[in-house]
Amino acid sequence: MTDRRRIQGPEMSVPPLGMGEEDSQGLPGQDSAPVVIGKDGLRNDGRLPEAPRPMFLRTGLVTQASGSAFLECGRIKAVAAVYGPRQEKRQYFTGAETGRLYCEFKFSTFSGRVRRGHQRDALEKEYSQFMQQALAPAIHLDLLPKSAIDIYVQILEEDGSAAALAAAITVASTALADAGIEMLDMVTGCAVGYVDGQVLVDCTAKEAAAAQGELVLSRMPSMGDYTHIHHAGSVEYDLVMQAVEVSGDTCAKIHGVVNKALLAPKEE
Amino acid sequence: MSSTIPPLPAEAIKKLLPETYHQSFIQKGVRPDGRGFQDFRPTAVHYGAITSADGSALVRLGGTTVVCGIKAEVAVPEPTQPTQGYFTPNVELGPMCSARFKPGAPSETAQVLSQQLNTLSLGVLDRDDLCIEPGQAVWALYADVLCLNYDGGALDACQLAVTAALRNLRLGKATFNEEEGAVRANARESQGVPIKAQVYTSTFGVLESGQCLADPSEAEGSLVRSTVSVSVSDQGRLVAVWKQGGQGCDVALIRACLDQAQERRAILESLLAPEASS
Repeated sequence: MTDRRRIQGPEMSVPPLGMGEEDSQGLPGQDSAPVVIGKDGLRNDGRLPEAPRPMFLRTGLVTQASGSAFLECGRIKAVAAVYGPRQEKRQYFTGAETGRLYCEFKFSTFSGRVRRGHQRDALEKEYSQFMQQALAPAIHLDLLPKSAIDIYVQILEEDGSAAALAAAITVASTALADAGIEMLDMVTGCAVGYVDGQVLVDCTAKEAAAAQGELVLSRMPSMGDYTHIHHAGSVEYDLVMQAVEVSGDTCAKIHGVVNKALLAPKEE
Repeated sequence: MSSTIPPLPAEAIKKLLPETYHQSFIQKGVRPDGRGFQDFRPTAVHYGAITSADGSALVRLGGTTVVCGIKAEVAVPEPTQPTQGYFTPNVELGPMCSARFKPGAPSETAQVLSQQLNTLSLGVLDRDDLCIEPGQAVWALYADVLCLNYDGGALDACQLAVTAALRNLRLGKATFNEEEGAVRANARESQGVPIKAQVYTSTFGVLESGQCLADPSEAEGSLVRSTVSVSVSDQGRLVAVWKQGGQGCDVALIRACLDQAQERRAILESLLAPEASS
């Protein structure tokens, strides 16, 4: 198990107890059940159920890459870099007529409450695959035979893992556009959580912990197509349909943010 | 040789013949980005960039961008050193920051950088300051440095990021509860970690002609035959010197590098001066 390529710390370490109270943003104490929606119908941070967190998006942070983007949404901070299209390495070449899209989704070790490992875990691998499935339909891979495009997304800070995936999809497609790669449309992602029979858009970690299920949806808003839907949790059928509708609308809103970011001057 | 090349646009020469391109600048006493030989690239430090980390900093050195986040956990000390805490620096040069690096296990460059940071950290922190209860519990600090954009000068940027993140670090007031066998930390009474000495690293590239370039960028790397990295502490003491690369150079050149590193230290010191926790 020892990783000989990194500096080794102690064999085992744990976060100290009692650090949970560090978030002094009106969060409930540990013994009371978490209240996610107040009596006034507003969420802890004052948002309406269908309101996403404000998003900041900029292109061109990673100058070494063909294209890149930086996204900040509440506490979430994500960087995406696109390399390619480049010639496919012989070992990966399968003789396919289309190009290959490789996605890598990674949480940084310090991104969350609890420290994460250096190596990619199962969740990160699953999210990498989701990204690939969400983005591939938008790219003209048939125009890029024998080529490969690499997308690397690094989550510097997270606040709700489903929301991090949605942010990764949005920031990756912005980076793809920044790299000048031909696409049918921008893909934007939106995550929602089901809390007590209500749909909450863009859940924070606290809200996600109280949710009975989650849905991550990616969409090409101008085309109206859905590229990827991931739903988990046992919820009423009607509520899922409502969630698809609400998150689809949010994707269209995010599309506007992406367009603005692409037109804005690059980050130097 | 350059005289036989037909006139090409500068951009084409830069891509096809990077060495010729850079050489033609060096001969005129300037560098492609407009710097003089002794100039470092613009440097910026941003404290507390990552709120989920206990201490963090983002450092920009020209195009190079690195983020350091420190996570503090609690561990049982080594039986032979019951009062010594752990400090574990690791550098991640992922495939995101440059096409040079491949996905997967850390490259040799990253491993060497991690080791250098580890060596330098010995003079920065007193491990005894990380003790909570002798023989029972100590702090384990994980300083992970993530490179977002790689354009040379990685050691300088990483060392500066670790230094800044350590200054930004706040640890909750920790008490060891014998009954529970666990450590409780009070975040409201948080405090910084005593720093023995700030260490500042400056890297210089030595050209074939024996000329010395301060803070070579990734593109200038094609000209650089060997590099000299000098670490000095805030008391002006010499902490480490690394001379890497195949070409030998005389002592006078190393001495010139040491002098420049001392000058650079003053600049970096004033850069770090603003209140670290802000």
